[in-house]
Amino acid sequence: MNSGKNRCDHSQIDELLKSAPGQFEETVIISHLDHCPDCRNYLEHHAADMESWNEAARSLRETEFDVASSMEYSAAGIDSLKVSTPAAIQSVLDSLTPSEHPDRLGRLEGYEVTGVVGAGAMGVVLKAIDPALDRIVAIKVMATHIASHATARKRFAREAKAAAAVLHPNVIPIHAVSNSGAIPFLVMSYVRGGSLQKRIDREGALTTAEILRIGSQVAAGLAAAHDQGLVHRDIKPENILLDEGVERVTLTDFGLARSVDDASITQQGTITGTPQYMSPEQARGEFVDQASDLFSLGSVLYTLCTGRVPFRADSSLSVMRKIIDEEPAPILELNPEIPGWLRDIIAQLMAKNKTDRFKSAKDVHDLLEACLSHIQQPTVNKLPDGLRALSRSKSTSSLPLILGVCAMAVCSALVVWLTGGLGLIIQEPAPKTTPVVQQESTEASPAEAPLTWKALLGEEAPENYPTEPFQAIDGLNKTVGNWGFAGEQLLDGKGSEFEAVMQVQGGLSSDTISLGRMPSWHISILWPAMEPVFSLNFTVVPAIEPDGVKWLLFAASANDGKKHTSSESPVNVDPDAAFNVSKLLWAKAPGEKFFFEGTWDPASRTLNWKPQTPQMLGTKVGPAEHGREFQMIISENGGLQIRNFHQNDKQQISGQTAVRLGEYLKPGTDLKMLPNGYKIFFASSSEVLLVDKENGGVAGARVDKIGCSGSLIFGLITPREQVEKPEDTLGYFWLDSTTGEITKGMELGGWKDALKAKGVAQPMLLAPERVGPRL
Amino acid sequence: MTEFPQTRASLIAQVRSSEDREAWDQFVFIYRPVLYRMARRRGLQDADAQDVVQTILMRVAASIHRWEQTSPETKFHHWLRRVARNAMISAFTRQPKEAAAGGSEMFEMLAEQPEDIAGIEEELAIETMREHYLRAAAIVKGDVDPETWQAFELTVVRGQSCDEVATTLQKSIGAVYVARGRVMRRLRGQVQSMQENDR
Repeated sequence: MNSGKNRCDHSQIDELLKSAPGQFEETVIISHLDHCPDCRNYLEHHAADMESWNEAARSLRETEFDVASSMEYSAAGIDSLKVSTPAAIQSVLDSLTPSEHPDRLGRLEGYEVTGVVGAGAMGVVLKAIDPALDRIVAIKVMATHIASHATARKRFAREAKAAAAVLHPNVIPIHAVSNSGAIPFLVMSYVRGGSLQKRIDREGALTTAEILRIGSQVAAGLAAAHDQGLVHRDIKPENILLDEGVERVTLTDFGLARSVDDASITQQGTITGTPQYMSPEQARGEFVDQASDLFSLGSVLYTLCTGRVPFRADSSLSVMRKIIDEEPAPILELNPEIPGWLRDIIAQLMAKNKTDRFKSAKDVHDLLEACLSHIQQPTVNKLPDGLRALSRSKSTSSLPLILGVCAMAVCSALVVWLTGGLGLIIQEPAPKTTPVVQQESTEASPAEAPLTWKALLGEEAPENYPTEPFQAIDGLNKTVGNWGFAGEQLLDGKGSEFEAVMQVQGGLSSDTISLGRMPSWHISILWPAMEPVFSLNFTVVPAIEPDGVKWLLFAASANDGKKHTSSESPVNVDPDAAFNVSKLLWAKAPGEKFFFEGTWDPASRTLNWKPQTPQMLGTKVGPAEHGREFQMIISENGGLQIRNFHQNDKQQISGQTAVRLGEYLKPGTDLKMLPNGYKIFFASSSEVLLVDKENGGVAGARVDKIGCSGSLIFGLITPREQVEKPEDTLGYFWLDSTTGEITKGMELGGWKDALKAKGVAQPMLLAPERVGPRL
Repeated sequence: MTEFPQTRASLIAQVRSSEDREAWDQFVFIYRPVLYRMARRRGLQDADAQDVVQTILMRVAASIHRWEQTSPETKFHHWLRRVARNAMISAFTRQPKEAAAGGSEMFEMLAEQPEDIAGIEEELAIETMREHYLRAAAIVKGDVDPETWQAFELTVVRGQSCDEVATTLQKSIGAVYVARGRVMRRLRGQVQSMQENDR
């Protein structure tokens, strides 16, 4: 065909482009394109404009962020060769020889590959059948793209050699090694059950018994490796496998292991290992011996206790800096259920100076074993002597703190008291609803009746009431992750949207609880900030209606610490009509009374609270600057804004939510900001969680009943077997959130009397919950 | 990092019409990876980046109840884009005011890296476009035979010459031109329709 410019028929190219891009074709017009630049040019421009071609090239190019899998830290030099995990798997699968069985992925030197277990920095782990022995094995195949890399091959060979040398029930057995073929691989036992990391991801912090069981087995495996002169160097939860059904823990991935005297491969200064679990000497790139594995084991145990890694930072480098310079957050603050002696063991494992750690992995194993026997049978097996002395002195020394009224210490003191003072350390998950507890529910007094829609409003729940329950907090080892109000702080008359979100981790699941949409809100505005004297309390109930959410004002009250004034509640508000809410008043000083009146303006959907001139004779009107105006704007779509027009007051907001659980409205999360800046959560029926000012330190404790009345928060603590009669409680505490004062009582008679003495006649118990179905 | 069922279960329950729900799903589908990459580029690690992304999405989700259809022309997805754009830009440009209340560690980190809004908008635009191309590529790739796709990928994305690729694939040069032209045309079409939906 002539390639002359004018004779080319571009309509054929148009047709070509429009036709489905199925398979390659070879036609006359296509072979014309082989040598006609003009037609090619035409084709390019009519396929898409130049900008699109460039955009496509730029957009589809791989970047370093394409791999969204978990972090992989391999040795320097290998990182640059990393390809995306799916691609690594694909390339390994592509290299297999076809299998005769159609349901298998392929064959690798006699092994029938049936699946992919996972992929890591260095290779891919396949699941396969060993036909010779008819057993299932795991085959670790070096990733094809690094198989040509000499260092990687050496490291792989070393792993094989190291792992094969250690024969121990807690170390993964190596069946075969192939280092001669194009792609080296390693045949290991197949462990059904997944890694410890998966377990942590799923469950968060573990129980003390589990931590000891896993810790002692890892220590045993390490001891065996250390006996062979090996240092594992990469002890982390991903490398600890849990056998399904069998209580056995297996140490795997000797990919970074090396003999202490083998300095040939890893150069000085080359960083290997996972930063989060590295020892300080590893982080500094120094000589590493067995003591380094002990530090990493300590970090793993720390993670098991708290559900999070000890050193967290934005980059590997910062993590390593922290490992070298900083102490991790105290375990006590993150999980007060961990006994003091275990915290001490972990602290010793994680000593910055390696000579301060335990002498050997064997010693650690023996110690953890002894501790495990103790908690399994406390009366038969005593704690090892050194540990007992240590934990006793700790719990007594915390008592003076508890009795202190220092506001800053309130939160941690509360927890210390709950765990240490009463010795109420609960290792096992709370028992599922027992018959005894169920009985309690049916006999519950009216004050303890579940907060149902009906109880709140005196009517049946509307048909379109949200049926999706909030996720229950199952009450086990929970810690609060992030929480916060999405909105501006309620200051200086700026609008604020009251929307709160809380994440709770640990226990049986991780939950995110939106506090922003809930059956009822209890809002307290307290001031002044440091020493709240007044509180203005509202209960509002949002009703889901076809055209949006409506907030119904349920009750309003004011409290000045002496007087408690309530509105004529319940006040059901018709949002479409103007109305006045009852006056609220309090006296700041004798003869000085303040009146507030709430007025609902349907047009702006605003509830204004204004100081009112008192109508009674003989009362003195407070000076104008004492007047405070509040405004609540309730939007048609369910938003709630609170405005304060008083400039100097910083408000404390407390929100309280009742979580709908099954047929109950389960009071589930209650949140108070204490005057000292701490926040206290009742994260479940039986847990108190405390968050410090920086939202960092979180502590929790388990109590059996929690309640509140005004600013008073109280908890009842009973041993598990004695929940039958709350009056028989072993102890109780209350916390005055206005003063930060904490008071406790032990066997001082009925808790109800104690509360009466405090002026609380009808407490609202927040824990009738055990009766509710658990989700 | 676990998914947050709550985003859907409770917050999104407020999006009542199925059309709007679809718009939300589509939005999350495209913007989750976009935000993830932006967070990673600022030095956040995988889990932290996912946290940040989730928090931003939850903020957007939390504001859904404010959506009000004032006239038949106002569309939920337009409104959503606008709200989301503001949320994303503010997350990457300044420390949010509510940070003091909690969950702020990562945002503080982001805020330590002062950035101008224009730069963020540009990055957001580029990343969104990238996501559109990636999604479109996944669709087109499934529609054509592997070699046709390879002709496109090797030449356009990997920058090899058509002659070279023709040799690799054992096809004529003209066939490589046609194959990649067809792929490009389809790709462009897909991206365009996504961009229209996303506007």
